[in-house]
Amino acid sequence: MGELKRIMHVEDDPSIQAVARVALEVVGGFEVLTCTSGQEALDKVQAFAPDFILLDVMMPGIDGAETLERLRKLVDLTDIPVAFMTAKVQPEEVAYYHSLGASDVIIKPFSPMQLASQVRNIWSKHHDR
Amino acid sequence: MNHQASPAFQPILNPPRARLPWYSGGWQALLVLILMLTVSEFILHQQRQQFDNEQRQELLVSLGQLRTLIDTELNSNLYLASGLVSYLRAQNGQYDHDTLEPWIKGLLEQGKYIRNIGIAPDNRISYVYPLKGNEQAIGLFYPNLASQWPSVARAIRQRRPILAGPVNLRQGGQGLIFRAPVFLADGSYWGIVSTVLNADAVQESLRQTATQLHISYALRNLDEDEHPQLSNSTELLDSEAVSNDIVAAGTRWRLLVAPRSGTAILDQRLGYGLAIAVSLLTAMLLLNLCRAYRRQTLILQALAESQQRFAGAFETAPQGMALLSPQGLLMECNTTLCQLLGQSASSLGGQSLLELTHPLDQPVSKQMLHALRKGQQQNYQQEKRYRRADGDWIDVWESAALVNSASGADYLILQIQDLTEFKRMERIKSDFIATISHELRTPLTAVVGALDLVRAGVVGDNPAQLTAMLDIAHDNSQRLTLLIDDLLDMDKLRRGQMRFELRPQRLQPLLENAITLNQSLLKEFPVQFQLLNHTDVEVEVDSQRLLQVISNYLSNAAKFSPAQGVIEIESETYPHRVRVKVRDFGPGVPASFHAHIFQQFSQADSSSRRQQGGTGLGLAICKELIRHMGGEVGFDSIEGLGACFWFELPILARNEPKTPQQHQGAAA
Repeated sequence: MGELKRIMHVEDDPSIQAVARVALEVVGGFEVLTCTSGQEALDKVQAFAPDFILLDVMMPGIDGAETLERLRKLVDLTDIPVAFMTAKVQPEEVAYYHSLGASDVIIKPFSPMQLASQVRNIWSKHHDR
Repeated sequence: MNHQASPAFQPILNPPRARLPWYSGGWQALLVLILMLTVSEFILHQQRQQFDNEQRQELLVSLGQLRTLIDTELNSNLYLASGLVSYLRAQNGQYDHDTLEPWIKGLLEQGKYIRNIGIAPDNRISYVYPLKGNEQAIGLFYPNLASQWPSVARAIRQRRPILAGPVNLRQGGQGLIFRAPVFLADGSYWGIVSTVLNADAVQESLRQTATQLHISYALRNLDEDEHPQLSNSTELLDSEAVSNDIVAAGTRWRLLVAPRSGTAILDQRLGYGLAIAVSLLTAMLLLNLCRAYRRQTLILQALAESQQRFAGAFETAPQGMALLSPQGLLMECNTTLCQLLGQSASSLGGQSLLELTHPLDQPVSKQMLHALRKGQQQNYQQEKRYRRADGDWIDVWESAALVNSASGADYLILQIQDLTEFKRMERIKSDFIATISHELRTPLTAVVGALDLVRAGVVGDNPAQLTAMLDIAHDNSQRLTLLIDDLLDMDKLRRGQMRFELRPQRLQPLLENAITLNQSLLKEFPVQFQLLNHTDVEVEVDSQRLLQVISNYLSNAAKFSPAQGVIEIESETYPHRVRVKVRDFGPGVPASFHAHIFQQFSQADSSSRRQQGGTGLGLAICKELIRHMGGEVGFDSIEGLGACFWFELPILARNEPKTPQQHQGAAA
């Protein structure tokens, strides 16, 4: 198990992209690759080789769940935690995302000051299993 | 909440009242009256004729009896006189008074009615027996007696005895005079033997018999010009009488008999009276019958009209309507209901309401039908789903009421409102809220995130004035976030999509936890939380949802408390429930607002919203959350003295205060 350094953030909204980038790079000190769509993530995942993937659920084109499915075919996600970011927080939805193979769900609106530590927690939990 | 009383079902039937004009049925009655009178006249006439015939027969019999009596009475007396005539002839007219007297005396004693016997040789009365009282008669010469000579002369001329009279006797009373001419052997006329009978006695004998026979009679002497008569009636009419001419004692008589006057007429009058009375009575009865029948007809007409009106209203009602037997079988369905269920009225008839009901709605329906049947409630409302013929389910609002009919056969009337469109609108509204909320949330996430990063100095230090402005921006974006959360919560609650994870847990740690979590309020509002007591009850709740409720109460209380105010949290335990109260000493709830405070978007006024923040959904959400956990909410407030908001929950168990550690884990 390595160190959490590179985070791939897949999000279609540019404002949130920007906020998350600052929260993760400046507050968390991570290296962030922002993808604007699921397709872009699929295109870049192998080159970037992220330690952690943050996936927005609702995106035009390929949505979060679909992206995860396809990512799984491209790379081995055993050691790469994937967290969904969503506003929908019904317990059965959380269960559904877990069933897709997500490590956790980060609820929108997220607190940018805490996002980095949230990610770190998820990463640790994933590797403590 | 589906059990609110609705106005009781009222049929459109008005009890019809029939008013008849006074003459109604009159002509039928008149016709019958005339008819009955005619018929009774005819019958009476027939009867009278029959009666007359019978009476005539009876009279003839009576006549015979009287006749026999007359024959007997007269002849038995007159043969005595005949004997005397024979004697005189045998003696060739020679007699002496002394030999004659004892003989005549004997005769007189035998004849009942003989008053006296006189002998008048050469028409001059020379002997009368008894002499006493008749002295004046001696020496009378018949040809000189104008009143008697015609009949004496006739007897002589006809050479046979003649009975004359009745005449008024000089001695008083009435008499019948039997005059027998005596002719000697050589055929020469000798004289007259005159026998005076007591007509009053004869009359008495006849009268007795007539009285027994209930008749009037008259015995008229036809041989005399004046037709003197013996009679028991002064007004015997020939027309009513039966008569017979007879010959007695050598004289022609006419005997008339008639029924004793009056009885027949009385009978007849009675008959007519009776006939009229019966006719009138029948006519009146018929009049009443006619009027009753007309009234009945009018009532039935009015009833039929009323029923038609009701049936029309039932059939054309824009809602589905049905009549249901107490057993829950459909008896009648209107067009709207048939369209709603996609079935014909005939195929729906006889189907069970429960069969049409969604399996999940059946228990409630069953229970409500039962309650109606038992008379425990008069009506009910239920939101439920019906199965259409094509297998789809449609949402309806069903109201049912028990109708007690006069005949005792109860039935239920059902009103079914199609909720499909309403549900569709609800869904659209819900989708709209969800979409809007989500669409708002995304930019808000960016705004809040960006602000947080700036305020935290991540992108550089901020001058003091900028920080103040950033704080305002942050606070308001927080409010916006809360509003969206509340909107989504409310929508989920209304749609029944909010999940509750109910777990048995102790209440006390939840209260303490809520106070701890809301310490941040104390920075914003200078107030103090005081938990007044300790409770040992256990409740079954979703701890997060309960915390949401308590937090809402606490934050409301904090907002409305005066500076340095105290907010008291207290629990009260009742036999089966526990009440948690959050009391502040602020301005209280205006009285005009009491009824609405737990409704959506209700705040005392818009200025309070601006001053105190909040969405106006908080209490409505609290009410729904507590309701979902089996409890209820409420408040007490006196304006100016503060408010006390409370919620109540059913108590699951009561723990001994000694062993609180057991449950601490669950409560955290």
